[in-house]
Amino acid sequence: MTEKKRKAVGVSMWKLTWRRFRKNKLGMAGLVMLCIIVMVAVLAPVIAPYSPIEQHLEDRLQPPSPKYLFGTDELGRDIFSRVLYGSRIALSVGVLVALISAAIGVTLGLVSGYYGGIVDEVIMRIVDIVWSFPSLILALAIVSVLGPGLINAMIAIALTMWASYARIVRGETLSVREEPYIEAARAIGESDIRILFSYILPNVMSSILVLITYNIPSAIIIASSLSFLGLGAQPPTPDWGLMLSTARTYLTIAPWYSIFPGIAIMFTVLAFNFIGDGLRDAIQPERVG
Amino acid sequence: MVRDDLIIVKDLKKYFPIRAGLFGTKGVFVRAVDGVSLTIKRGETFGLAGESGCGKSTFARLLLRLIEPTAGKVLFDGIDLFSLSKKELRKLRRRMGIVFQDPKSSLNPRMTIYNILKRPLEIHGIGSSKEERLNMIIEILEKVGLGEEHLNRYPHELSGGQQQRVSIARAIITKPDFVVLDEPTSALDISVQAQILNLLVKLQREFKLTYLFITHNLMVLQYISDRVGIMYLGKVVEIMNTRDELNLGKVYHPYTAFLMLSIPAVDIRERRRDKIIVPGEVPSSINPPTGCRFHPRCPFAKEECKSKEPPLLEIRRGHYVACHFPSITEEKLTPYVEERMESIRRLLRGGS
Amino acid sequence: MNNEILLKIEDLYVNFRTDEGIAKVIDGISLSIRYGEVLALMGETGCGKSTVAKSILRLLPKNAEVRGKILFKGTNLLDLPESELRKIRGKEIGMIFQEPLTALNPVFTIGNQMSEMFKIHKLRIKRTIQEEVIELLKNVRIPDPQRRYYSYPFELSGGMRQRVMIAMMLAGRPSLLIADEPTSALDVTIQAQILKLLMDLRNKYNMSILIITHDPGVVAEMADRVAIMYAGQIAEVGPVRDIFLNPQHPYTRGLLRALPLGHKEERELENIPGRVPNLINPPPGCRFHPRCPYAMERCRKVKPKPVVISDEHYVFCHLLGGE
Repeated sequence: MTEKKRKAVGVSMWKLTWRRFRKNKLGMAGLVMLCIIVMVAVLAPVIAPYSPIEQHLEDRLQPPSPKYLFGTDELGRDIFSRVLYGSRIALSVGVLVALISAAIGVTLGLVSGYYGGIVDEVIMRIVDIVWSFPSLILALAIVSVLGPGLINAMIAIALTMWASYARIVRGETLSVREEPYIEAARAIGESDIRILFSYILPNVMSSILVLITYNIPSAIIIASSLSFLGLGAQPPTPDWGLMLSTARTYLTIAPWYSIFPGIAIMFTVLAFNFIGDGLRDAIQPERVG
Repeated sequence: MVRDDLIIVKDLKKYFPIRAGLFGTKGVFVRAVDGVSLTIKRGETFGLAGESGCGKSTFARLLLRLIEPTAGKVLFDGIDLFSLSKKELRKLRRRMGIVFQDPKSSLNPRMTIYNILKRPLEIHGIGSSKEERLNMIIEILEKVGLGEEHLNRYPHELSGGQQQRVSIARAIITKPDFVVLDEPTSALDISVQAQILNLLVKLQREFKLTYLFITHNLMVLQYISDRVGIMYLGKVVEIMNTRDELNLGKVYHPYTAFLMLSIPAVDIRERRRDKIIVPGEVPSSINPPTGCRFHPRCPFAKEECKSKEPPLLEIRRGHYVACHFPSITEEKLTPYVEERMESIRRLLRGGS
Repeated sequence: MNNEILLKIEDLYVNFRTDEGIAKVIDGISLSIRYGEVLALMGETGCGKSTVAKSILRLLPKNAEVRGKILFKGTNLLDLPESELRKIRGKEIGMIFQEPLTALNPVFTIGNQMSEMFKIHKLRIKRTIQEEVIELLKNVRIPDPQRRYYSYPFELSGGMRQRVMIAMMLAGRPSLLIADEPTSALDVTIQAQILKLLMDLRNKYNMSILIITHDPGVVAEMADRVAIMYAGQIAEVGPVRDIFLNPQHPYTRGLLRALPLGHKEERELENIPGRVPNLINPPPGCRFHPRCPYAMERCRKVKPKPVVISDEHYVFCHLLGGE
């Protein structure tokens, strides 16, 4: 009888955020850009005319032409195909690093903010130490200990990035902890773990999400920088940073070699930053109202 | 055996340390609750009133052991609340509930109404199947004046009054004995306040609930409570029956009298330009005044009041006052309070 | 009190442009305040009472559209250029708010901020500015004013801060004081002190006061006349005594009967069923009709005109006649 009524579905905070996000032109542009990048990454084998590591030694350092859309590199590899495949590496590096560092930082931040006391002191001092180094320098130091390679570079970047999650989540936890609905949860007998993960985490999630969208491009840039310095992805991986690094030598005679990977990095970084800005603006009004 | 007294509070104290300077606490405390003893009878509404900072909300949280006391004892239906283990306490929470002042922030904004109401049932293992729990939730929603159509709504989609109804539903869905209502209508408009007060009275009768009703609104206090306690700076200064004492204006502590006289005269004929107003402000509870804590504001204070703390004594059956000279109040202030309360009754009768 | 009109609001409409549409917050209200009179604007959350107060001083946010006239001593404030209006704000018309802490600058001392008032409005003074300020602090019965002159806002209690705000507004000797929920954040004993202070100052300076409140108690204590607002319309206006003892509008009646007077064992409180309408799509005609037990066909279509009950007591309700 009231089957229809029971199905009346409420509008969650996420839906409200999405409605506001949709009105943000730059944010939507970022989302469209991201969709393009993801499609490129998924469809790379279909779109790419050549394999990214296939060498055409007779066609070295060719300028852009119908045969090689973005030209070729010093080994005659098709830059267009390499840029396409590079998106796979960039995206996975960005997303994986952001997720790993979020997992570490969020857990520590929640514990730190909820329990306070000595636990909080210790975690926050470690955060201070990590924060006192520029990310790239710290990542460099860690990689030089772990040894070069893409996986090691990702671990190193994640180890420099978790601290910002820990700090932000701790701050938010401190304020959410004081909300009456947390006290209400304790009054009905909820356990600490449950309060942390079902009550506090969902309410700090929006800030975490914004931070993730900002951290993905930073991770991509740092990973590219490490590759550029020879500490990240190793040849012949079609990594944008690595491409830039070798392109440097040929900058005057083959400018296309550095321009296209450069544009690819910029495009990806901008996409995430636009989304981040849009998301931040879409989330904030509900705090005020 | 059913005990007559559901809650017995003995010399309850809660001091909050203040962090002063770099080296942490230095023995400086806010004495939020400073030696309160009282009993709450089964099935009654005990109203607790006082101005901000008097410790009434801290007291409420102690009664549910949401915070740990500095000293003292609370017996909940004969069970020593502060000797319970964490596990035993969680189990006992089924028998108590709380409703807060701000309806919006007392509900988790990321949970639907269904999920908010489902949790107490799950925690305490009430209901054996999903279906059964759903039916219990719908039943309680209807009891508080909402319906199935609200199940999948989020708190922000409801009005303040509806949010407060959900909070009440959450507090009573486990069929508790005791519910603390911490200023449940202070954030609401008058017409919504009336709906919520009516609902609370109805639910109390139906489920035989015992209420501790905390408020700073004396009109609400004298309407809803069966007995009242007045708090000032962490102490209870007067306890009395509502209908045949407070509502008739028979109060014997000067502070209570001043509070009652500050109820604005809704009956316009009672407006006097030379109003009786208590001077000064509530002092800090970090260094409360010696002797009677009200003495710096009391127009009748004598030497004795500055040095000796008045005990809470029964001056009539069930009427307790902590004042050295209740007869002065009786002579100088009580007649005005009686007049004020009489004018309200006259207004209600609609007579002239 | 003389009978001359100090402030006259004529046919005021205020719309707010929002994401969801245009909110018709004030729907054509007219009011007047005489010299030395205390007029209360009473209503529940969202009835538009604060919007009326803010439109007098043109303090509304940018997304507001205001139509109508607000005549202050004969000048239409809505037409005045901003520079002229600034001379009136804080001098001719003072305003105090619910939370004085937000209205005071936390980094300046009380004396500093109050002295500014004299400088901005180039007020004539008999003594040094400091002496004038201390005199004002004495007027609002702040204990130890010499010391308080050097205090910062956070060092004062809520009641003291409200006194400072009042003192600040007194500097310009305003003829009108707008008090927007001045005691809602205060404890009852402090509320009583502030209300008494306001009444004493009214008598001393012969100010008019427009008090915005949701609390019938405050109205009964202070006001000469009261206008009851509902959803951007005026329901009833008249002398406080007439409205409280002989309310005519179904909304006013409901509101007064909802007050928790008496005891639960003796009476159940009256309910006004339903809830306040959405002002983006307000009900046509009388905006109270969806909640009114006596609503008639006409109430759904025609906005009611004032019906005279007695002398100054007007009700906007079709039940009580009209054409």
